[in-house]
Amino acid sequence: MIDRSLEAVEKRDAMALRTISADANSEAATEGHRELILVALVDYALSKVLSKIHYQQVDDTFYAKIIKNFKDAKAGPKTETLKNLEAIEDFVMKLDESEGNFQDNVMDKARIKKAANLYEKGLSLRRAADLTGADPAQVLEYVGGSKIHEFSGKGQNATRLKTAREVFSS
Amino acid sequence: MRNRIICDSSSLISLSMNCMLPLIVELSEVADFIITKTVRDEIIDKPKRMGQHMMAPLYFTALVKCGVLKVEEADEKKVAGILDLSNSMYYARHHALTIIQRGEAEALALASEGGTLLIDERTLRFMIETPKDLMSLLQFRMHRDVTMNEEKRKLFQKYCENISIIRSSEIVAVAYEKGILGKYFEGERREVLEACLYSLKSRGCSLSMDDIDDYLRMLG
Repeated sequence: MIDRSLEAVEKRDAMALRTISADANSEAATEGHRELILVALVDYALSKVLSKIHYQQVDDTFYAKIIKNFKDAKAGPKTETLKNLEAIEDFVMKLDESEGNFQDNVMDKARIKKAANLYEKGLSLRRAADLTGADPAQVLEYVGGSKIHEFSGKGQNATRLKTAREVFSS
Repeated sequence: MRNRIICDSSSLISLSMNCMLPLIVELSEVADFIITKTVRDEIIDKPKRMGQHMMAPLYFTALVKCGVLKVEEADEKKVAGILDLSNSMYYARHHALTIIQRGEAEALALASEGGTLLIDERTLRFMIETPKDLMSLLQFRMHRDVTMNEEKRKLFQKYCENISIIRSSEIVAVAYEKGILGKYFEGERREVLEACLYSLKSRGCSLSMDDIDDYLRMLG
Protein backbone atom coordinates (compact mmCIF):
# COMPACT_ATOMS: atom_id res chain seq x y z
CA MET A 1 0.00 0.00 0.00
CA ILE A 2 2.81 2.41 0.87
CA ASP A 3 4.49 1.72 -2.49
CA ARG A 4 1.28 2.48 -4.32
CA SER A 5 0.68 5.61 -2.23
CA LEU A 6 4.17 6.88 -2.95
CA GLU A 7 3.69 6.41 -6.68
CA ALA A 8 0.30 8.11 -6.59
CA VAL A 9 1.67 11.17 -4.78
CA GLU A 10 4.62 11.39 -7.17
CA LYS A 11 2.14 11.39 -10.07
CA ARG A 12 -0.26 13.71 -8.15
CA ASP A 13 -2.97 11.15 -8.90
CA ALA A 14 -5.98 11.91 -6.68
CA MET A 15 -8.11 9.07 -8.04
CA ALA A 16 -5.39 6.49 -7.37
CA LEU A 17 -5.06 7.78 -3.80
CA ARG A 18 -8.83 7.37 -3.30
CA THR A 19 -8.61 3.79 -4.55
CA ILE A 20 -5.66 2.94 -2.31
CA SER A 21 -7.43 4.54 0.64
CA ALA A 22 -10.49 2.34 0.05
CA ASP A 23 -8.30 -0.77 -0.31
CA ALA A 24 -6.39 0.03 2.88
CA ASN A 25 -9.63 0.61 4.78
CA SER A 26 -11.00 -2.73 3.60
CA GLU A 27 -7.85 -4.48 4.78
CA ALA A 28 -8.01 -2.59 8.08
CA ALA A 29 -11.56 -3.84 8.68
CA THR A 30 -10.16 -7.36 8.80
CA GLU A 31 -6.68 -6.82 10.18
CA GLY A 32 -7.23 -3.77 12.37
CA HIS A 33 -3.63 -2.62 11.89
CA ARG A 34 -2.85 1.00 12.72
CA GLU A 35 -0.63 1.44 9.66
CA LEU A 36 -3.44 0.38 7.30
CA ILE A 37 -5.79 2.85 8.96
CA LEU A 38 -3.19 5.60 8.65
CA VAL A 39 -2.67 4.86 4.95
CA ALA A 40 -6.46 4.93 4.44
CA LEU A 41 -6.73 8.27 6.25
CA VAL A 42 -3.76 10.12 4.77
CA ASP A 43 -4.39 8.89 1.23
CA TYR A 44 -8.01 10.03 1.41
CA ALA A 45 -6.97 13.43 2.81
CA LEU A 46 -4.24 13.82 0.17
CA SER A 47 -6.70 12.97 -2.59
CA LYS A 48 -8.87 15.83 -1.31
CA VAL A 49 -5.89 18.19 -1.21
CA LEU A 50 -5.05 17.30 -4.81
CA SER A 51 -8.58 17.66 -6.13
CA LYS A 52 -9.89 20.81 -4.42
CA ILE A 53 -9.44 24.14 -6.15
CA HIS A 54 -8.50 26.05 -3.01
CA TYR A 55 -5.52 23.75 -2.47
CA GLN A 56 -4.15 24.27 -5.99
CA GLN A 57 -1.55 26.75 -4.75
CA VAL A 58 0.06 24.17 -2.50
CA ASP A 59 3.69 24.14 -3.59
CA ASP A 60 6.01 21.26 -4.35
CA THR A 61 7.82 21.48 -1.02
CA PHE A 62 4.68 20.11 0.64
CA TYR A 63 4.59 17.11 -1.68
CA ALA A 64 8.37 16.66 -1.35
CA LYS A 65 7.93 16.24 2.41
CA ILE A 66 5.10 13.76 1.89
CA ILE A 67 7.16 11.75 -0.61
CA LYS A 68 10.14 11.66 1.75
CA ASN A 69 7.96 10.38 4.59
CA PHE A 70 6.37 7.72 2.38
CA LYS A 71 9.88 6.61 1.32
CA ASP A 72 11.02 6.44 4.94
CA ALA A 73 7.81 4.63 5.92
CA LYS A 74 8.47 2.09 3.18
CA ALA A 75 12.02 1.50 4.41
CA GLY A 76 10.68 0.55 7.86
CA PRO A 77 11.07 -0.85 10.53
CA LYS A 78 7.44 -0.88 11.70
CA THR A 79 7.87 1.77 14.39
CA GLU A 80 9.41 4.08 11.78
CA THR A 81 6.61 3.28 9.34
CA LEU A 82 4.03 4.43 11.86
CA LYS A 83 6.09 7.50 12.79
CA ASN A 84 6.39 8.56 9.17
CA LEU A 85 2.72 8.00 8.41
CA GLU A 86 1.83 10.06 11.48
CA ALA A 87 4.18 12.77 10.24
CA ILE A 88 2.22 12.88 6.96
CA GLU A 89 -0.98 13.17 8.99
CA ASP A 90 0.55 16.18 10.80
CA PHE A 91 1.67 17.83 7.55
CA VAL A 92 -1.84 17.57 6.10
CA MET A 93 -3.39 18.98 9.27
CA LYS A 94 -0.94 21.89 9.30
CA LEU A 95 -1.59 22.57 5.63
CA ASP A 96 -5.30 22.68 6.30
CA GLU A 97 -4.81 25.17 9.12
CA SER A 98 -3.32 27.63 6.65
CA GLU A 99 -5.11 26.75 3.39
CA GLY A 100 -8.39 25.11 4.35
CA ASN A 101 -11.76 26.84 4.00
CA PHE A 102 -13.55 25.12 6.85
CA GLN A 103 -13.03 24.79 10.59
CA ASP A 104 -13.19 21.01 10.31
CA ASN A 105 -9.85 19.71 9.20
CA VAL A 106 -9.55 17.60 6.04
CA MET A 107 -8.02 14.89 8.28
CA ASP A 108 -11.07 15.00 10.55
CA LYS A 109 -13.31 14.57 7.52
CA ALA A 110 -11.18 11.61 6.45
CA ARG A 111 -11.61 10.04 9.89
CA ILE A 112 -15.41 10.41 9.76
CA LYS A 113 -15.64 9.08 6.21
CA LYS A 114 -13.40 6.07 6.90
CA ALA A 115 -15.11 5.30 10.23
CA ALA A 116 -18.51 5.34 8.51
CA ASN A 117 -17.09 2.99 5.91
CA LEU A 118 -15.82 0.57 8.57
CA TYR A 119 -19.23 0.72 10.27
CA GLU A 120 -20.87 0.00 6.93
CA LYS A 121 -18.66 -3.07 6.60
CA GLY A 122 -20.02 -4.41 9.89
CA LEU A 123 -17.70 -3.19 12.64
CA SER A 124 -19.45 -1.59 15.58
CA LEU A 125 -19.69 2.19 15.77
CA ARG A 126 -17.21 2.28 18.65
CA ARG A 127 -14.71 -0.01 16.97
CA ALA A 128 -14.89 2.08 13.79
CA ALA A 129 -14.53 5.36 15.70
CA ASP A 130 -11.68 4.03 17.83
CA LEU A 131 -9.68 2.72 14.89
CA THR A 132 -9.89 6.00 12.99
CA GLY A 133 -9.96 8.45 15.90
CA ALA A 134 -13.30 9.87 14.72
CA ASP A 135 -15.97 11.41 16.95
CA PRO A 136 -18.85 8.85 17.15
CA ALA A 137 -21.46 11.64 17.08
CA GLN A 138 -20.09 12.92 13.78
CA VAL A 139 -19.90 9.39 12.38
CA LEU A 140 -23.56 8.81 13.29
CA GLU A 141 -24.51 12.06 11.57
CA TYR A 142 -22.59 11.05 8.43
CA VAL A 143 -24.16 7.59 8.46
CA GLY A 144 -27.60 9.22 8.80
CA GLY A 145 -27.11 10.97 5.48
CA SER A 146 -26.21 7.71 3.73
CA LYS A 147 -28.13 4.58 2.84
CA ILE A 148 -26.12 2.43 5.25
CA HIS A 149 -29.05 1.84 7.56
CA GLU A 150 -31.37 0.71 4.78
CA PHE A 151 -29.91 -2.74 5.51
CA SER A 152 -31.12 -2.81 9.09
CA GLY A 153 -32.94 -6.11 9.43
CA LYS A 154 -36.65 -6.63 9.02
CA GLY A 155 -39.79 -7.56 10.83
CA GLN A 156 -38.88 -6.64 14.39
CA ASN A 157 -40.65 -3.31 14.69
CA ALA A 158 -43.88 -4.68 16.15
CA THR A 159 -41.89 -6.65 18.76
CA ARG A 160 -39.78 -3.65 19.66
CA LEU A 161 -42.81 -1.42 20.01
CA LYS A 162 -44.49 -4.01 22.22
CA THR A 163 -41.35 -4.20 24.38
CA ALA A 164 -41.19 -0.42 24.71
CA ARG A 165 -44.86 -0.20 25.64
CA GLU A 166 -44.35 -2.80 28.37
CA VAL A 167 -41.16 -1.21 29.70
CA PHE A 168 -42.78 2.21 29.99
CA SER A 169 -46.23 1.06 31.12
CA SER A 170 -47.89 2.63 34.18
CA MET B 1 -39.75 -3.21 40.75
CA ARG B 2 -39.03 -0.58 38.10
CA ASN B 3 -37.99 -1.66 34.61
CA ARG B 4 -34.37 -1.08 33.65
CA ILE B 5 -33.17 0.32 30.34
CA ILE B 6 -29.46 -0.12 29.72
CA CYS B 7 -28.40 2.68 27.39
CA ASP B 8 -25.72 2.45 24.75
CA SER B 9 -24.01 5.71 23.87
CA SER B 10 -25.29 5.54 20.26
CA SER B 11 -28.90 6.08 21.38
CA LEU B 12 -28.02 8.84 23.82
CA ILE B 13 -26.02 10.61 21.11
CA SER B 14 -28.94 10.28 18.63
CA LEU B 15 -31.43 11.64 21.15
CA SER B 16 -29.09 14.45 22.12
CA MET B 17 -28.40 15.51 18.52
CA ASN B 18 -32.15 15.64 17.93
CA CYS B 19 -32.98 17.69 21.06
CA MET B 20 -34.92 14.71 22.41
CA LEU B 21 -33.18 14.11 25.73
CA PRO B 22 -36.19 15.62 27.58
CA LEU B 23 -38.11 12.52 26.47
CA ILE B 24 -35.95 10.30 28.65
CA VAL B 25 -36.28 12.76 31.51
CA GLU B 26 -40.07 12.30 31.25
CA LEU B 27 -39.88 8.52 30.81
CA SER B 28 -37.51 8.18 33.78
CA GLU B 29 -40.63 8.70 35.90
CA VAL B 30 -41.64 5.12 35.07
CA ALA B 31 -38.35 3.31 34.36
CA ASP B 32 -34.65 3.52 35.22
CA PHE B 33 -32.14 4.55 32.57
CA ILE B 34 -28.77 2.96 33.31
CA ILE B 35 -25.38 3.67 31.78
CA THR B 36 -22.07 1.92 32.36
CA LYS B 37 -18.86 3.71 33.31
CA THR B 38 -17.47 3.38 29.79
CA VAL B 39 -20.65 4.84 28.30
CA ARG B 40 -20.36 7.73 30.76
CA ASP B 41 -16.80 8.25 29.58
CA GLU B 42 -17.96 8.18 25.94
CA ILE B 43 -20.76 10.69 26.34
CA ILE B 44 -19.21 13.01 28.93
CA ASP B 45 -15.47 12.71 29.52
CA LYS B 46 -14.19 11.88 26.05
CA PRO B 47 -16.08 14.62 24.15
CA LYS B 48 -14.88 17.10 26.80
CA ARG B 49 -11.28 15.98 26.26
CA MET B 50 -11.74 16.31 22.49
CA GLY B 51 -13.23 19.77 22.97
CA GLN B 52 -16.09 19.05 20.59
CA HIS B 53 -19.86 18.92 20.99
CA MET B 54 -19.54 20.56 24.39
CA MET B 55 -23.27 21.12 24.90
CA ALA B 56 -24.14 17.43 24.93
CA PRO B 57 -21.63 16.45 27.66
CA LEU B 58 -22.90 19.30 29.82
CA TYR B 59 -26.48 18.08 29.44
CA PHE B 60 -25.47 14.48 30.11
CA THR B 61 -23.57 15.59 33.22
CA ALA B 62 -26.75 17.22 34.50
CA LEU B 63 -28.76 14.06 33.74
CA VAL B 64 -26.29 11.96 35.74
CA LYS B 65 -26.24 14.47 38.58
CA CYS B 66 -30.02 14.55 38.92
CA GLY B 67 -30.30 10.76 38.69
CA VAL B 68 -32.08 10.46 35.34
CA LEU B 69 -29.07 8.48 34.09
CA LYS B 70 -27.79 6.07 36.72
CA VAL B 71 -24.21 4.86 36.43
CA GLU B 72 -23.59 1.19 37.24
CA GLU B 73 -20.58 -1.06 36.97
CA ALA B 74 -20.78 -4.19 34.85
CA ASP B 75 -19.49 -7.55 36.06
CA GLU B 76 -15.89 -7.65 34.86
CA LYS B 77 -15.90 -11.40 34.30
CA LYS B 78 -18.98 -11.14 32.09
CA VAL B 79 -17.52 -8.24 30.13
CA ALA B 80 -14.34 -10.22 29.45
CA GLY B 81 -16.37 -13.26 28.39
CA ILE B 82 -18.53 -11.22 26.01
CA LEU B 83 -15.52 -9.48 24.47
CA ASP B 84 -13.70 -12.75 23.99
CA LEU B 85 -16.65 -14.54 22.37
CA SER B 86 -17.92 -11.69 20.21
CA ASN B 87 -14.49 -10.97 18.82
CA SER B 88 -13.71 -14.56 17.97
CA MET B 89 -17.06 -15.43 16.42
CA TYR B 90 -16.49 -14.24 12.86
CA TYR B 91 -13.48 -15.06 10.73
CA ALA B 92 -12.19 -13.65 7.45
CA ARG B 93 -9.01 -15.01 5.88
CA HIS B 94 -8.29 -16.96 9.07
CA HIS B 95 -8.38 -13.72 11.08
CA ALA B 96 -10.83 -13.35 13.93
CA LEU B 97 -12.70 -10.10 13.27
CA THR B 98 -12.70 -7.61 16.12
CA ILE B 99 -16.24 -6.32 15.93
CA ILE B 100 -17.12 -4.75 19.27
CA GLN B 101 -15.36 -2.79 22.00
CA ARG B 102 -15.56 -2.61 25.76
CA GLY B 103 -18.46 -0.11 25.91
CA GLU B 104 -20.81 -2.39 24.01
CA ALA B 105 -19.69 -5.44 26.01
CA GLU B 106 -20.37 -3.62 29.30
CA ALA B 107 -23.86 -2.60 28.19
CA LEU B 108 -24.58 -6.15 27.09
CA ALA B 109 -23.24 -7.58 30.38
CA LEU B 110 -25.55 -5.32 32.40
CA ALA B 111 -28.56 -6.01 30.17
CA SER B 112 -27.99 -9.76 30.46
CA GLU B 113 -28.80 -9.47 34.16
CA GLY B 114 -32.29 -8.30 33.28
CA GLY B 115 -33.24 -5.25 31.36
CA THR B 116 -33.89 -3.79 27.97
CA LEU B 117 -30.99 -2.65 25.84
CA LEU B 118 -31.43 0.76 24.21
CA ILE B 119 -29.10 0.81 21.21
CA ASP B 120 -29.20 2.74 17.93
CA GLU B 121 -26.16 1.32 16.20
CA ARG B 122 -26.74 -1.67 14.02
CA THR B 123 -23.82 -4.05 14.55
CA LEU B 124 -24.31 -5.22 18.14
CA ARG B 125 -28.06 -5.40 17.55
CA PHE B 126 -27.48 -7.77 14.63
CA MET B 127 -25.01 -9.79 16.65
CA ILE B 128 -27.58 -10.31 19.41
CA GLU B 129 -30.72 -10.79 17.35
CA THR B 130 -29.65 -12.16 13.98
CA PRO B 131 -25.97 -13.19 14.05
CA LYS B 132 -26.28 -14.82 10.61
CA ASP B 133 -27.43 -11.50 9.14
CA LEU B 134 -24.27 -9.91 10.51
CA MET B 135 -22.22 -12.61 8.82
CA SER B 136 -24.00 -11.89 5.51
CA LEU B 137 -23.41 -8.17 5.98
CA LEU B 138 -19.70 -8.67 6.72
CA GLN B 139 -19.40 -10.95 3.72
CA PHE B 140 -21.24 -8.63 1.39
CA ARG B 141 -19.49 -5.45 2.48
CA MET B 142 -16.00 -6.84 2.92
CA HIS B 143 -16.17 -8.74 -0.37
CA ARG B 144 -14.64 -11.82 1.16
CA ASP B 145 -15.63 -15.11 2.70
CA VAL B 146 -16.63 -14.74 6.31
CA THR B 147 -17.29 -17.74 8.50
CA MET B 148 -19.00 -17.95 11.87
CA ASN B 149 -17.80 -20.17 14.69
CA GLU B 150 -21.02 -21.93 15.73
CA GLU B 151 -19.71 -22.97 19.13
CA LYS B 152 -18.76 -19.40 20.01
CA ARG B 153 -22.10 -18.15 18.69
CA LYS B 154 -24.01 -20.51 20.97
CA LEU B 155 -21.96 -19.45 23.99
CA PHE B 156 -22.41 -15.79 23.07
CA GLN B 157 -26.19 -16.27 22.69
CA LYS B 158 -26.35 -17.41 26.33
CA TYR B 159 -25.52 -13.85 27.35
CA CYS B 160 -28.35 -12.60 25.15
CA GLU B 161 -31.15 -14.94 26.19
CA ASN B 162 -33.10 -12.47 28.30
CA ILE B 163 -32.32 -9.32 26.39
CA SER B 164 -34.86 -7.31 24.47
CA ILE B 165 -33.74 -4.43 22.33
CA ILE B 166 -35.25 -1.04 21.58
CA ARG B 167 -33.91 1.98 19.68
CA SER B 168 -34.47 5.69 20.16
CA SER B 169 -37.30 5.35 17.61
CA GLU B 170 -39.24 3.28 20.17
CA ILE B 171 -38.60 5.98 22.77
CA VAL B 172 -40.19 8.44 20.34
CA ALA B 173 -43.08 6.04 19.63
CA VAL B 174 -43.91 5.62 23.32
CA ALA B 175 -43.48 9.35 23.96
CA TYR B 176 -45.92 9.94 21.10
CA GLU B 177 -48.50 7.57 22.57
CA LYS B 178 -48.15 9.08 26.03
CA GLY B 179 -48.60 12.61 24.67
CA ILE B 180 -45.06 13.63 25.69
CA LEU B 181 -43.87 14.63 22.21
CA GLY B 182 -46.46 17.38 22.01
CA LYS B 183 -44.99 19.08 25.07
CA TYR B 184 -41.71 19.68 23.29
CA PHE B 185 -42.61 19.93 19.60
CA GLU B 186 -45.48 22.06 18.35
CA GLY B 187 -47.47 20.83 15.36
CA GLU B 188 -50.09 18.39 14.21
CA ARG B 189 -49.53 15.12 16.19
CA ARG B 190 -48.74 12.89 13.26
CA GLU B 191 -46.59 15.55 11.62
CA VAL B 192 -44.52 15.75 14.83
CA LEU B 193 -44.12 11.97 14.97
CA GLU B 194 -43.04 11.80 11.33
CA ALA B 195 -40.56 14.66 11.77
CA CYS B 196 -39.06 13.03 14.85
CA LEU B 197 -38.59 9.65 13.15
CA TYR B 198 -37.01 11.17 10.03
CA SER B 199 -34.79 13.33 12.19
CA LEU B 200 -33.57 10.29 14.17
CA LYS B 201 -32.86 8.45 10.95
CA SER B 202 -30.93 11.35 9.47
CA ARG B 203 -28.76 11.59 12.59
CA GLY B 204 -27.73 7.98 12.89
CA CYS B 205 -30.48 5.82 14.40
CA SER B 206 -30.44 2.56 12.44
CA LEU B 207 -33.88 3.01 10.94
CA SER B 208 -34.71 2.23 7.35
CA MET B 209 -37.38 4.02 5.33
CA ASP B 210 -39.47 0.84 5.62
CA ASP B 211 -39.16 1.02 9.41
CA ILE B 212 -40.50 4.58 9.39
CA ASP B 213 -43.44 3.55 7.19
CA ASP B 214 -44.07 0.68 9.59
CA TYR B 215 -44.19 3.00 12.58
CA LEU B 216 -46.45 5.50 10.91
CA ARG B 217 -48.80 2.65 10.08
CA MET B 218 -48.65 0.98 13.52
CA LEU B 219 -49.10 4.23 15.42
CA GLY B 220 -51.95 5.36 13.19
